Amino acid sequence: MGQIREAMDAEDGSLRRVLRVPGMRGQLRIVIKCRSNSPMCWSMSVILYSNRFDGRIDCIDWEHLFVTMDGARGTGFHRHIWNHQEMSCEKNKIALPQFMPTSVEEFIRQGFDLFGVILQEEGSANDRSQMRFR
Amino acid sequence: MTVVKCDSVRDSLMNYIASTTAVSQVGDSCVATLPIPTVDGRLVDVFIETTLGDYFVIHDGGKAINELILQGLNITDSITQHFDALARRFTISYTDETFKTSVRPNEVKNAILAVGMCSGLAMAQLIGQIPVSTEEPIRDQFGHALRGWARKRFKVNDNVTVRGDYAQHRFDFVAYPRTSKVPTVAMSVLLPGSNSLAAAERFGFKAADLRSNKKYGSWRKVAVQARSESWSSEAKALLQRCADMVIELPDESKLDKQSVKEKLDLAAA
Repeated sequence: MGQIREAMDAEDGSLRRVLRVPGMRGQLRIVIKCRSNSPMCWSMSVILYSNRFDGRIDCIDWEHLFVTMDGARGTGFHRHIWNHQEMSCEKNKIALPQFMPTSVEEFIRQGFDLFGVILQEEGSANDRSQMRFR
Repeated sequence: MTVVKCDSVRDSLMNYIASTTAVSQVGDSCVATLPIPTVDGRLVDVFIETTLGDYFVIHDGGKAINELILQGLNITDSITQHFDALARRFTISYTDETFKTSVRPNEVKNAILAVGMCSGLAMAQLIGQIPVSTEEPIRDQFGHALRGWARKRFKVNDNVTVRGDYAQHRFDFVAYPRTSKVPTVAMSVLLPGSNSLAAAERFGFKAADLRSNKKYGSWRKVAVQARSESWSSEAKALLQRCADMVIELPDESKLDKQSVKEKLDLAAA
């Protein structure tokens, strides 16, 4: 986590890293944006680059007013759920009422738990943190 | 021909605008949701904060840029310039990836709409966009070319951290000579991101901080300028001044290995 924060500080609160997925042909990348101190402006997503689809497949962000996938009005943090028929995660949102991070570290930890991303601190200080899917 | 019933259209429109407009206190900020639909299906949020005196700061919290980046869009200098021009048209500013303005109380409503419009219009960048997947492969491709060049003459290490006089720095690759006749070559693969000048300045600080260092001062510092066509001329000029060698890598699918090797030969000469 320390290395992630260090990298984010160097990039003005942003992070882009490749996620290791053994045997996968395409590439998955995680993007985190926490430029300001306000949790309302924090967001993270998983982007897939492959022959079949290029774009966001999962996301956690904050909106003051949004419509959930079952038509209800929601507010606050929510997750975008992949719809394989539409090949998109833009409209399928579910509210995350328990997701209330008070720090960037908490936001990253809780977000990684939801995404199923494991952070591996590997090797010497010269190695970058490795991230992979469960 | 059916006569349009203006009253019912107006009522229906007013109801829609009312249902999609919300203003409430969240934490220390007042957040206004405007009935401006974005191309990715959101409604635009605008933040209103008080400052010292009777001024209000109105901004979009960088949410438009966050959304673009989170969907895989690469914010180039030309996109930044476009946002800058867009903000100026609405008499606000675009700074630190945020549409914002500072106004007196009687100007707040106009400012909210201006920031909201800019934040919403910025999302039009998503139309026809293809996420840029080249950044990581550029580093990997350069690594392959570097190892091909080094072979038995150099030992190449990835992600090498060094301590300068003022700060700790990282090089993507360092090629250590197997004989003492040639210098060590340290390389950073630099991506322009949303601000290529900032990337050049960070490299400049690294080079300057290591210049008088006993251990690292003699290393040749090579700046690998990824997506070189996206760099501003000011940033390119700065890199040329502070690096011992600049290797430009245009945004092409195939890396020109021969050209890279020739540049590395010059750097290690």
